[in-house]
Amino acid sequence: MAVENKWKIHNKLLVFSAIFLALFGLVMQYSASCYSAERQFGDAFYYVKKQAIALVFAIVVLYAVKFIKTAWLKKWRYVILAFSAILLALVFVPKIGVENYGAKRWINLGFTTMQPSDVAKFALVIFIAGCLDKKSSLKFKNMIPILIATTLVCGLIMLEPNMSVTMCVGMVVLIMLFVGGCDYKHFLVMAVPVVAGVIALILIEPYRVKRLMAFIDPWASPLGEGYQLIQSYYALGSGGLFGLGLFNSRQKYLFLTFSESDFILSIVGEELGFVGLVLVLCVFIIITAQGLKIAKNADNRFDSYLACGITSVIAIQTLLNVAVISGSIPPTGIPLPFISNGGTSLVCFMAGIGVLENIASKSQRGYLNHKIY
Amino acid sequence: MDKISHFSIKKRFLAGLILIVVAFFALFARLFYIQVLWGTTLQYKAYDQWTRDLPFRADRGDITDVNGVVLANSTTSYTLYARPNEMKDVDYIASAIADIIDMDKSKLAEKLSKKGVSEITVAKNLSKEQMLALIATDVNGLYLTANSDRYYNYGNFLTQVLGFTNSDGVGQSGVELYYDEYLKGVNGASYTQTDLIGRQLNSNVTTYVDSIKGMTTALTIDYYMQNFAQKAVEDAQTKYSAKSASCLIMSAKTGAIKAMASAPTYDLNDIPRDDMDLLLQGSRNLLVTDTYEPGSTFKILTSAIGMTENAIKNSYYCGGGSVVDGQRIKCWRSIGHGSQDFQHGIQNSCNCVFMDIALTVGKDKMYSYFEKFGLGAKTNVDITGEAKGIMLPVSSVQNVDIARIGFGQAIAVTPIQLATAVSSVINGGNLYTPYIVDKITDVKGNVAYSHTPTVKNTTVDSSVAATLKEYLYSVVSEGGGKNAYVPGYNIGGKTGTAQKYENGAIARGKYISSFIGFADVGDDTLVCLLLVDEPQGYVYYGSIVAAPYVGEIFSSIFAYKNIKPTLNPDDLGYTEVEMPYLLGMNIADAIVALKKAGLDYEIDGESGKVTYQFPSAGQKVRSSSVVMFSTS
Repeated sequence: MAVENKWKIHNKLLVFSAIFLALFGLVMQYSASCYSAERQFGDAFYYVKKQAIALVFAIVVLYAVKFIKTAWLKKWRYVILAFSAILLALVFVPKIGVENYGAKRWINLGFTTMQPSDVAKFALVIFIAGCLDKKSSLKFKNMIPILIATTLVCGLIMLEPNMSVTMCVGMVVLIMLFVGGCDYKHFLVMAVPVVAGVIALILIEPYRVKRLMAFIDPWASPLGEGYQLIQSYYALGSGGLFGLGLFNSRQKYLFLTFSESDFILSIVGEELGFVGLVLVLCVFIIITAQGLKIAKNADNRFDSYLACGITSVIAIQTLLNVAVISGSIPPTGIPLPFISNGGTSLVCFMAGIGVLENIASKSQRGYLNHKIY
Repeated sequence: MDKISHFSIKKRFLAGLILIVVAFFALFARLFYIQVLWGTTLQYKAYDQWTRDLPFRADRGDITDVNGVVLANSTTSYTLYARPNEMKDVDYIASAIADIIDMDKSKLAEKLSKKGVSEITVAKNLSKEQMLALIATDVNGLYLTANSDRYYNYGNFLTQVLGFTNSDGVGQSGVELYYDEYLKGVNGASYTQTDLIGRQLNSNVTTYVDSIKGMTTALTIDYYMQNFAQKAVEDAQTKYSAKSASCLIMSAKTGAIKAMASAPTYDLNDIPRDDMDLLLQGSRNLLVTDTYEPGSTFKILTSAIGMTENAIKNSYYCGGGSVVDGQRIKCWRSIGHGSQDFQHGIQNSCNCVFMDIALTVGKDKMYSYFEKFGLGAKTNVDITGEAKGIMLPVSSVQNVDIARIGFGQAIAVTPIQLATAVSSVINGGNLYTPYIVDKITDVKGNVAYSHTPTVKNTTVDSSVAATLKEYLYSVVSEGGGKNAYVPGYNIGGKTGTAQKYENGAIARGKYISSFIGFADVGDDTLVCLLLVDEPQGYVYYGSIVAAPYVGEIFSSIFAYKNIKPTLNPDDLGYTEVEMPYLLGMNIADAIVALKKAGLDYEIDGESGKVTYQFPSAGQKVRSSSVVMFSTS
């Protein structure tokens, strides 16, 4: 394939959508956190400053990734997987791992902290794309290395614990296997250990399940498990159709915790209303559609699966985040791609966009359009 | 390498995209539900946590007497606080508010510049006008709280009827409790926007919602009549060192309660909150909550029943008692009243006459009349804690019981029941529901509640009532009720001296002395029942202990209402005589001495020398009034 100017942005809609979301995220993070940051750190821009630095770095990474050969990722996929598994394991090492709100999800890099699960999601996607490139998931035995890698990553994330990221990873893997040609019967086989696991959880820790299910009626414990969801409802409900106006949130006055990170969409809904919220989410749909289009037109099979996997991570994580803030699933911490505060997450997602742009820049006519390959 | 159809992969990409977009739209639907359909409800709940409200307690409504004399009112004062660390320009603030709160500007500035304190009290007891002026200045860091205090204008007055409130301004007893819904008003508040911890937001605009004062509750009580009744029960209770004395004045024509007094009592502005027993005891309205055996006052009802049932004989003989079913029941006068007609039987309050009537009428008819009179049931007066009275079940009533009931023993009533029943005899047979609140009006003058006198049922025939009234007038003019006589006026009534029962047995030396009287006062007819519970000493006859006070009360009412005498006082031979010295005489000599002086008498004892006389020798008493002596 003729390679066009590498410096040029090929899928402007994708890249600028992502950058728009990240900039919008900065504004919303400022609105959501200015009061709490002023109170806690004496600096209304505390979160925004850190995130702005991360954004500059993320855009550099995005551009740099454009020049990496995707074949190189395929070649080093075992190393990448092993490296991310080691990072995941490091959260359990005292002094390196950082515990917050009863979960060990961060490692301390000295100058900042990072979330290894953000890296691991994409590492697993690279690994699975590599596997599927060699052997499709038509046959069950071909899927065995994929399932082992998935179990390893999911197991480590579950130990943190972080249920929603585990769910996210699991669903992304399912989509990749589905696109890779997995038979419906194999999904049923895979469902057996998952169902068994859920039953075991209910039997071993019924209290924890009950706590998870508290989201069905948060007013049963308005100051306990139900608190965060009630506050999210208050934010969304106060926003109504058109919102209270930018920067006019009332819930940000310490009522809604994690308002700059996992629950930033509740503030978006409060300030910009249902209409604003839907418009923002439509940008995610655009990114998803563009990502899958890139996957479809990819130059080779690995690129196709890789693009599909990255797009799935963005889409699934967004869906899960919206589901959490709207009380559709148990409230567990999962950030919104591009918009939530969190440097590692932003850099990883921007890198993912970089990979998509990389693949897009190569593909004029996708391999899928060839009759034989 | 395994082969996958390209077409199938394309389809699978499309399927994945559709799946994700459908999931997005499902969540859009969920968000629409939360934000748009559920939004208003959530917003309302959220508003609650966004604001801190500082309540302004509404002033309770006034309680007035029937003529608008204010008996209870509420005053609100405001306290001004400041939080110095929220103030930027202290000098400016001081000059803005100094005039409003009447303080020296520089002193105020000095006070407000105080560092290291979170809150200081700037001024207390501010008026509503000052409060509104302070709010208008819109200065940051100033806070106002409202304090509403109940004040009873006459303190120790109508204590049990008015009742009191707790420190939160909620009615606890009496009218304050019964009509709390009307009296309490609607609280106001100031709403301040705050963060989770309660810190005021910079963008805060405090909103004030004014409170609405409670409604004005006009009682049927007449301030002056209440004063007369109150003075009477205080005097009676003190003079006889009684456990308590109570008085009820009621309009026989409507059931409106004109006065309701009990002694001892306490000052409503200084109630004994730390002494629970005393508080509960003193807050009970004895005229409604307590039952007693009425004794001879009950004979009015027996008479009315007997007359209606034609059970009155031409002549009765009293030999000091009657034998019923082999059991001798004594008349109060052990030497007996001899031969007498019905009217003299009433005047003498002869037990034998009323035993005869009750037995002639029979227990079933007696009980059916009791029901008409409302005995054994609440009168439904608008006062809390009303008792029903105690009656033997009709099936277990023996002749000896019904004979005793005839003269007011073996049956327990509340004073208000008796007064209501007697009122129906006086007014010609209409039993009214007694009531204490006449009208309730809101702050704008709209009437929220008013009482219309309601006839519950008819008790006796009006012609019977008219005849009986004449007999009862003669009790005061000629019989045992002479001490209630007010020269020149027609007063009817009946004395009552009832022995108290404790644990089912007669309690020796414990009596309730009472008198129920009535008189026309202008267009109205007032019934006045006065009871003295456990008078100490030798004197316990209702005719001596209770009747004079009812006379005094009526005398005061006549003067207050400017009622002219209808009779010539001289026609009734009214003079003042001196009480003779009786001590040491035998009974016959004492009677001769009293007759010579032109006095009527009650005797305690049957033989021996006089050991006690009331009043003491030499005191001026009205001729033909009733005095008393006792023998060893």
